Amino acid sequence: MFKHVYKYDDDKRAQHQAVRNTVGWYYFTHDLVEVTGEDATAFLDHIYANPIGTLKIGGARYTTMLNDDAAIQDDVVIFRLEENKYWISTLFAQRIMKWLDAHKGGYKAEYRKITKEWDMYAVQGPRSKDLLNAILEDNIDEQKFFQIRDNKIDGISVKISRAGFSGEKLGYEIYVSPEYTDQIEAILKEKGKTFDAREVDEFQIKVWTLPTEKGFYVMTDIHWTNPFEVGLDRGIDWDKDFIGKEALLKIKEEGPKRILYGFTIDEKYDAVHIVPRNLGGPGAQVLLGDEEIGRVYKYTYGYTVEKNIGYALVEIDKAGIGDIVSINGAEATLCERSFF
Amino acid sequence: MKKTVDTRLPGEIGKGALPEYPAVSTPWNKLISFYDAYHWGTRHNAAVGALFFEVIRILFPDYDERMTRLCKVNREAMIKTFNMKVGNSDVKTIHAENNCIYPFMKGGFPSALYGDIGDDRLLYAGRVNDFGTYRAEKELDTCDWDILGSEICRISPYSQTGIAIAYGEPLVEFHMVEALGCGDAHCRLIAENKEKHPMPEPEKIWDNMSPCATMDYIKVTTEENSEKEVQQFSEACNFMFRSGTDLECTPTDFFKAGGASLALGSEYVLCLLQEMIDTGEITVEKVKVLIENVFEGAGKMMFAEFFAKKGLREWLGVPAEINDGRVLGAYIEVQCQCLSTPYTVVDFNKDEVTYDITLAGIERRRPLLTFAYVNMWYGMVKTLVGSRWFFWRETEDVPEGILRVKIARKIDKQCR
Repeated sequence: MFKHVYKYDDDKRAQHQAVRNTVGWYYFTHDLVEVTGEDATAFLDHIYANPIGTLKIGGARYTTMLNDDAAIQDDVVIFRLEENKYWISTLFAQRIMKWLDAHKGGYKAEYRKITKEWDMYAVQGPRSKDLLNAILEDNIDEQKFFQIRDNKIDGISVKISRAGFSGEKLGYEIYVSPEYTDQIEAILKEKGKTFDAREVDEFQIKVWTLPTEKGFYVMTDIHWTNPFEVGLDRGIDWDKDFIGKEALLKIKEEGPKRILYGFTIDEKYDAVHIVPRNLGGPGAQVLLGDEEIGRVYKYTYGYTVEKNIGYALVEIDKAGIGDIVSINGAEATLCERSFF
Repeated sequence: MKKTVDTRLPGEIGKGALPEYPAVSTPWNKLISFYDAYHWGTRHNAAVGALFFEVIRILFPDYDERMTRLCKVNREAMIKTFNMKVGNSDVKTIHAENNCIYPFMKGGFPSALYGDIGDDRLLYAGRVNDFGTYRAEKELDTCDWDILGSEICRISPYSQTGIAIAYGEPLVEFHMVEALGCGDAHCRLIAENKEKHPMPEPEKIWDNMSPCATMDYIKVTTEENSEKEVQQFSEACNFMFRSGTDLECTPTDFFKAGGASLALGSEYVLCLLQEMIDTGEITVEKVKVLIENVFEGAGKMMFAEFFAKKGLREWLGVPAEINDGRVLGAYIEVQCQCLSTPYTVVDFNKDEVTYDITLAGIERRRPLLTFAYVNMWYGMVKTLVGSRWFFWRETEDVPEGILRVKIARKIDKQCR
C-alpha cells in the first residue's frame, strides 16, 4: 500500500515546522560569482532585467536573467558590496560564467567564481533574529530585508544577509569562510537549543516544501518561461537596456500566452502518481476534459497548509483560478501560487 | 476520421554529433539516421557486455563468488574514480559542477542524479519518482542491459553506492528492487539511508534485489503510461533531457559524451579481469583464450541464419552483386561512425579491405575490448561472407595508436 512520501514523514514535518514555528538552520551554500571593475554596474544592468545601478552598497536585489527571446535563463540575488564590487548568488555558476563571457563585449568588468571561498548557512523562522543576536557580536535588530552586513561570531568574521528562501518574514543567511564552517555549525547547534532550533538537512524541505508554500521558485519552475508568465515582471527596469528587453516589450503588449498557477489536490488522491517537472522531465499533463492545457511544474506537500500543493504552467485562455483540472486522474483546483 | 500525426524527429536533432550530419553513411551511401545510429550503439554495447558476462561466468561458475567479486571491485573502482585528483580539484567536484549539483547538496544522494542522467544518455527511458537527502527512486520502462542477466542488475546499484560513498554522509545505498533484466515490468532503483530507513543487513553483499525499507513509498507507472523513448528524443520534453536540478542535455550533448560508445556493461567485467591480471591471479593469456572463444563463436552465430545476413545487407545497402570482404568492412565502418571513432579506408575492393582505425575509439582504455572485437569480427566474416575469408589485425609497420585490420581470402590449415 502506497504511503504518502512526505505527509507521513515525521522527520521532514518536524524540520519544516521548525522553520515555520521557531527557527531552522541549514547548510545552504550557493554558487557565488564576484563581479568587479569600473563597468561592473553597467555590465550587470545589461545582463539582468531589474535595476542594478540603483542598488545601495550593502543592498541586494532579486532579478531574472533573460535571453534575446525574453526566456528566463536564471534567477539570482545580486549583492552590492562596494561601489564596483558585486556578488551574484546563483545555483548555476557554470552557466553564468559562459553567459557573461558571451555578453561581456567592451565592458570593463572582471568576474570569477568564488563559491569555494564562502560557505553559507540559512537561519530561518520567527526566532531566527533572536538566535542570531545571541551569537553575533553586533545586534541585527536594525538590519532590513535584503541588506548584507559584516559581523562576527565568536571572533570569526562573517557576513549576515537578511534574506531567505523559506517564505518566512524573518530569515537570515550567514556567509563564512569554509575554514570556520564547522565552528559556525557547532555554535548554531549548541546555541540553537535555547530557541528550539532544529537543523534542516532534507533537500526536499529546503528546496520544495518551504518555498513552494510561499510561491518561491527554483529554476526548474521558471526556466524558458518569461517574467510575465510567472509573475516576475514587477521590478523590471524598462528605462534601461537589457538582454531580452525588445522581446519582453512585445510580450508586454500582446500579453503572455501561459501562466504559472498554484494548485491543490485533495487528500483522497494521495496515492495518484504525479511526476512533476521538479523531478526532471516534462511534468505530468494538466488536462481540461481531453485537452492538454499545461504541465505540472512542481508537486509537493505543504506541511503548514496540510495539503498537496504544486505549480502548473497552463495556457492562459484555457483555465483560471478556481477551475478544476485533471492531473493523471486526480482533480486539481487552480489557485494563487502562494498558499498562505 | 480522427487525423493524427505521430512525433517526427526534427531535422536538427543530432546536429554536430556525427561526422556527416544528419546520418551515418555506408560505403554505398545508404544513410543511417542519427536516431538509429545512437540506438544501435547502445544496444550493440549491451550485447558486447553480455558476451563479457559469459566470459566471467566461465571463470566463476558459482553465482555467489562471481557476484561478490564483481560487486566489490566495481564499487571500489567507483570510489577511487570519484575521489581521483584532477589538478587542484577532483572528479566528484568537477562532476558536481558540470551536472548542476547544487553546492549545498551535502551527502551521497546526488549520486541518484548521476544515475538519472546516465539512464537518459544510455537511452533507458523512465522517470524519477522521489529524490531527497534520505531516499530516491527511479523507475525505468526500457533498458538495453536487459539482455545481460541478473548480475548487472545487482552490480549497477552496488557500484552506484560507491559514488554515494565518495560524496560522503549522509549515505544512501542503492537497491534494484525490480529489474527488467529479471523479468519485472520495470527496473526500480531505490536509494535509502539506512539510519533513517533501517533494514537488517543482507547475508550477501550483492543481495540488493530484495524488498528494501521503503517499499510502501513506491509508485508504479502503469504499462499504458510507460515511456518507450527517453527525454532527449521526446517531443514532450522538447527533445531535451532535463534533470530535477535543471541540467539540460540535447541528444548531441549526450552523443558527444559517449552515449552510443560507452561500454559500461563490458566495463563491469573488464574491471575485475584487469584486477585479476594485475594481481597475478590469472594470466592475460588465459583471459584472452576465454575472450577469443566467446567472441569468435558469437561472431559466427551472428550471421549463421540466412535472414540475419540478409537483414544486415539491407541495413547497409550492399549491392546485390557484392559478397566479399567489403560487406564486413561496411559494418565496421558504420560501427566506427556510431562510436565516434575516426578511421581511414586503406583498401576497399573485391579482394581486400584494410582499415586504419583510431585505436582509442575502439579500445576505450581497455585493450581486451579491442581483442574481443578482433575475434568477433573474425567470427562474423566466416558466416557473413564465407569460410574462405579471414579477418585479422596487422601489427607490423602500424603507426602507434592505430588499429590496422584486414579482410581478405587466405588459406590457413590451422584456422579456427
